[in-house]
Amino acid sequence: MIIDAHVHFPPGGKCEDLDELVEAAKRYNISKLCMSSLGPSWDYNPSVSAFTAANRQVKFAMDRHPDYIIGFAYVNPLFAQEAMKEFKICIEDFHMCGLKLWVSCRCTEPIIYPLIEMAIEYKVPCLIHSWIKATGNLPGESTPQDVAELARKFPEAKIIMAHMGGDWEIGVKAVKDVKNVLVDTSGTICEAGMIEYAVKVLGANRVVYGSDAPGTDFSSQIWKIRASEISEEEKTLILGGNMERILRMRT
Amino acid sequence: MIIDVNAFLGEWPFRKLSGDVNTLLRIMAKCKIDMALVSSLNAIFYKDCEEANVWLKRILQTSKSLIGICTINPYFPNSIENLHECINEMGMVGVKIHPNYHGYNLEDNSIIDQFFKECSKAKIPIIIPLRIQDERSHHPSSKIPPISASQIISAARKNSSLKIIVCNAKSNEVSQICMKMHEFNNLYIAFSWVQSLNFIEKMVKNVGSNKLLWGSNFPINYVEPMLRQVTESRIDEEDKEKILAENAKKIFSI
Repeated sequence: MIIDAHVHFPPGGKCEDLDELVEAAKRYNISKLCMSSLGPSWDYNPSVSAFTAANRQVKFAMDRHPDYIIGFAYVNPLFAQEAMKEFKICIEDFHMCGLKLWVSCRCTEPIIYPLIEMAIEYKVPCLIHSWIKATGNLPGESTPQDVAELARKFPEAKIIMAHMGGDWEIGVKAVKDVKNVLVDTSGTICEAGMIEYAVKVLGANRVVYGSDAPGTDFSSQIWKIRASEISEEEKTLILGGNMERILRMRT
Repeated sequence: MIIDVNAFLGEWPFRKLSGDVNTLLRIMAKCKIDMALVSSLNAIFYKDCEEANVWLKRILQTSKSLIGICTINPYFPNSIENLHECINEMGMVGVKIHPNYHGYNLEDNSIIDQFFKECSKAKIPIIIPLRIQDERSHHPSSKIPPISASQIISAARKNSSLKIIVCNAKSNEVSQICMKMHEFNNLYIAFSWVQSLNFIEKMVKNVGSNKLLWGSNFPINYVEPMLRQVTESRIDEEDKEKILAENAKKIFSI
């Protein structure tokens, strides 16, 4: 079973683009897409109406492709009360299965803590965007070290660090000793050796396949795993086994 | 047939990579790649590229499926002479330039104009990778901005008989360049970077396949994911053949 841990509702919000995404995923025998939406304009600091609208796009996708789309709630933690209320609605009413945090504030900010506590309570994973950029991070963009710090504070939380931290050499090492952090392989970075490195440092059970589609094509992202020089068992874990285990926490 | 128009051999100073001939040949065999146009990775970091080109020529003698592409810094003394040696005496079929790593702009001045005229006169195709590694992941000591699509477009416009092959462009940069492709006949794109969903289908639909090629960016990137973007795209077989080999054969006369 292949589960894509990191997919977005297509920017622009068109239904035909959603269908194109799902159709492409099915061509690659992907069984489930974990989908969040970053809203209509991918605003770095979205308003309450923007992130609630984003989650309704995902609800629409879940209804349109039942049993295929697994929703992840996206909120802006800076709107503390509204973010918690929206997260509750997404989990309890929309039956979403995860929390997605992006770049409105770094994940070491205490304002995020109640959301993490809720995720622990709901037994859902937190997918946290993370990057450490040579070109400079956004003010609210979490580094891999931030993710590690958060995960140490909440050892019961199951955290997926997106894009292997962007600069994967730093990212993987930053979370090496924080066992409740997994990394996803998504994104346009496709550097030789990155998957082997993650498996060597973290073990295959802490690496999950993700694409970041539609920003990337499924072909390059799946073949990142398939072409890497690791065992078939390890590939199976990365492509779906680990994510299946994480999503089963809730049931 | 599959021809990779953007491979390197050599060392990368910031990470241990397997950029040797045996690894490249092994991957080519696995992916059924028949031929690779190869330049020196070391040359990016040398002031005088000549030594790297000589090394490359010696290394490539071990395999007929590897074809040399020389690396030239037009601003380095004697560069035109080195270019002709590489093409005429060493049998290389094109030139790769790295304006961002070698510290010049494509619109700089008469030196680059003269170099392009020389390539054009000798019918030497020129390969320009916009980047080698994603700039967000650069080593702190070597932060090299990518070459802009606008510089490429301007160079193509100014040198209409020079064949320019752009590599390592992200989807937005490919789109930007493709929007202008109808204005010239001399500009080509080699897909050698991770592209967005169904992007290759969309580009073939928009600009046709005559100006598109494929490259791996070996050893920086994984080869097979780059290749699969083309082989698994839903385009006609004829278009795939053009992108994967036929266009390269024509451009580089191989």
